[in-house]
Amino acid sequence: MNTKLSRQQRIFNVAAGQMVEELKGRHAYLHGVNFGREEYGVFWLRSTDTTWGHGWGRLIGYDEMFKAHCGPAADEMFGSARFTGWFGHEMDGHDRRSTNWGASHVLASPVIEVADDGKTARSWYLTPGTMMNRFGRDGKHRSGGWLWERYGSDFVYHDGKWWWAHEQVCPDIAGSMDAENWARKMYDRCKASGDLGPAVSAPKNADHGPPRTDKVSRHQEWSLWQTVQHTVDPPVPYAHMDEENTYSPGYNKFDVILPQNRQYGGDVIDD
Amino acid sequence: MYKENRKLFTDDEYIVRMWEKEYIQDLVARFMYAWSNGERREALENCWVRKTHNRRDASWGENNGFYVGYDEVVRHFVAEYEDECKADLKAFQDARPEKGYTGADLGLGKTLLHDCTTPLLYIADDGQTARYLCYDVGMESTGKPDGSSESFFEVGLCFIELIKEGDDWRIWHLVYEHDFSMEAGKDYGSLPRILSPEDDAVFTRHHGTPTKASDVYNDLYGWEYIYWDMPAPYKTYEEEEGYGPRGKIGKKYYDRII
Repeated sequence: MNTKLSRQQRIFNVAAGQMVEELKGRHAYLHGVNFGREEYGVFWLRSTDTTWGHGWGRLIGYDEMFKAHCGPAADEMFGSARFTGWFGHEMDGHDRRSTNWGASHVLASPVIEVADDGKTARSWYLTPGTMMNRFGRDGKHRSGGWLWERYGSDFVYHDGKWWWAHEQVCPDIAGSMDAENWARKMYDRCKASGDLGPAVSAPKNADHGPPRTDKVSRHQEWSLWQTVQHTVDPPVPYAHMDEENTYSPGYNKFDVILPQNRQYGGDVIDD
Repeated sequence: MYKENRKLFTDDEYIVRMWEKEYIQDLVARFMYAWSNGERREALENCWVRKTHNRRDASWGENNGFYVGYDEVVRHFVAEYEDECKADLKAFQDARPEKGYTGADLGLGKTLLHDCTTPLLYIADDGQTARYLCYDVGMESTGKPDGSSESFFEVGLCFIELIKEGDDWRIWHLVYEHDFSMEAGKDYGSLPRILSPEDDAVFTRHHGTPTKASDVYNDLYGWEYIYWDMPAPYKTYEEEEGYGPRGKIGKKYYDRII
């Protein structure tokens, strides 16, 4: 714990911590219904160093991230494209994004740190979440799943507001509710693919995910043959964001790039 | 460009507001804890409004409508649950009269857990009300005399509006948008999208008969109104924007257009 902060800095940092909780909460509910526009279009930092990572790699820059979550690619990635032509009047007046999705990545066990310089903040959360909806994969049967992940998130203070800058999603385990032995399922999958040995840790997610610049996978789904992955360890007290204190190595030059991105994407960032 | 209401406060005001946010989260957690313990009457008495005029406006929303007024909230949240417990206890008594079960065993066979994950909380600029949203990843189980049980994971959105009474925060309006019940050991994904009324009864078993029936939430379409209903920074309480029976939750989009 940093004990050298002034009273003013402490107040600012506690308020910042609560703001990070707010942004994480807003994200959790909006992502839960695939409302990308209402999230990424509202409180994400418009910068070239904004990134969004998953098992399949990283989306680099605000434009790439926004397209993946708010355009036709999002319909593909989150599955609502399947709805086209499925239903008639049943969907009239309803939002197919929320109807299809239902990803309740509930948040637990937060660790939040605010930089000594007050310009960035970092958070780490776990989710013991669910993935449920009534329309399922075929439109006839329901979908009932659970998904446990861990999240590393970075935030930037800019023009008097906190903005989301980096997200690294780390899916670990998932299964169907309440129907299967998920450990046995993994064993059967490994056995069927000949993966019953510690040599099998090659990235398995490279073929999935939206169009993206960085296809290097930083986090694999759990397997029988790997240790716990320290992809997003909880943040520790830090002075300022750098390569040692980030969830997106290589994309932390906010002091340099933000003035250039003042009108990034055609929108003026102000409050 | 998106703009949101963000009032600036002095340091001392910030300190009070941050302290109160922590207090409110504790209060809701205490409510959930009492609910999980089956101590429903205490949960209401300790965490809900006490002033007469606030009790008159207190409400509990379910998917099928609102229980309006504190007494109606008690009827739904406490009395209906106690009736259920009495019926469960009677089944135990009838099956094994030699055991001599008494009223002290009310709640026998029950296991509950309700929680408040993913908090999203804003206190109004005037500091008199607050809006809170959390997600309940819960469970409820009822044991049977033959050793079987009815056991479910229960998940749902919990919208809560709080009001300040003196120096205390109190729960005033609560809307529980029940998403799903997943029966233990049953493949939820094998269920059809639309169930028969008989089969659907298990999912609506806790909704009861509200004071003011209305289609508050339909899990068929998911959280389609979450962007409009979730808490956001606000200046002061307005009934039509609140979580009470005359508020916005449960309104369709065509009723929200001004």
